[in-house]
Amino acid sequence: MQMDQKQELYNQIIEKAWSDAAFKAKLLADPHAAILESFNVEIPADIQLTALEETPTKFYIVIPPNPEVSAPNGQW
Amino acid sequence: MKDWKTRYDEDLQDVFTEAIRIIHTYPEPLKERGQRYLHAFNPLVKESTKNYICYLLPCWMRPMTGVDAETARSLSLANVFGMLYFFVQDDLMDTAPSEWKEELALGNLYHSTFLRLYREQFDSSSPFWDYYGTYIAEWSVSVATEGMPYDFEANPSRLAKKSGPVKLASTGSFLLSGRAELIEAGSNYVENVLITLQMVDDWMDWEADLADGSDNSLLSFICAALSLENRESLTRELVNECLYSNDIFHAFARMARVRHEQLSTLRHDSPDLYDFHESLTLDLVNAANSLHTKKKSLIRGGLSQWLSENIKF
Repeated sequence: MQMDQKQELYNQIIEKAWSDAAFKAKLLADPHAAILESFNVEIPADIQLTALEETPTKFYIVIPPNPEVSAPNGQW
Repeated sequence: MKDWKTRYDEDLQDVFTEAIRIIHTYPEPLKERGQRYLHAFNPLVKESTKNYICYLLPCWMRPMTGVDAETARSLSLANVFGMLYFFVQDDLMDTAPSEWKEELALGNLYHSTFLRLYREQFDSSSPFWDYYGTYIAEWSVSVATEGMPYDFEANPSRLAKKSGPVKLASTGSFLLSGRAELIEAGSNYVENVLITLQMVDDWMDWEADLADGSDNSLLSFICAALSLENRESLTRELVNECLYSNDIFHAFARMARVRHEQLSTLRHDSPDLYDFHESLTLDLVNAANSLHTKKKSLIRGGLSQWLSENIKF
């Protein structure tokens, strides 16, 4: 449930951009401020955020960073 | 509830209090060094490195071995000094510390105590010492052949040999209670647990082992899956890719799960040992699932993953 809620927030950002032109404009101009104002979520300033809008004939392929396996902890 | 860990806190208190007292009788300058080294591995110290099977095995095995609590504590104490001795050996072999003379000398004191405590239980004519010889020989071969390629999946028992001396406590218990006919079954049970324990340790240490060329069952498993003859072409990036991009880690964890299912018929013989193995198995299975979940999250993009990891609900 918790993981679904976290994915839901990302979907909510997209859906709000679809339904709220002012939010979409702000998201494209200043994603940090837009997400903070509308969702009360502060993404750190050292994370650069860029919002892009696709069109029916212009798509973007977003390549996330390669996953990194962090060293697990454990005491056995 | 991890009863296999918490059930024996009073026993461990007794065992490690006695261990501290024994080391207090060591000659200077090794007394203080010996206490510091024990402190680093004392499970009652919050930040210490744990090695539960070493000092809890005789307690866990009591339903199968039939020894009383006091005997189990005696064997636990002996195993503590065995643990310290073999840890010193590992340090000297792996890292060649600058104060190697002092460490080697301390190791000999631990070894002397280790033997003395077991001699108090087993005289020179006891078959215990034949098993001692066997487990030490297996440990010797294991450390001397580290780094040589081997097929982990075909020969998983090799993983258990380096920790084989821990079985002195369980084997010794069977001899003391007159149940020598159960030694082989008990040894197989413990070896299976040691295999999974080593797999968990290798999962935790793969990065360091990749860097310094140490044996590692997870890395061997990945090499076999990729049909690599050796680890020369195995890089950190390639290991990351394997752990995330395909089913290799799930297959690795599945080996532990299959082993756990096979041990289910032995659960009644030693519930705590079985439950310890279950905790180890779940550690691997949950790690594989966690990587899978993280990958699914990351594929949706960096922002989606950041939200997953940083927003609390």
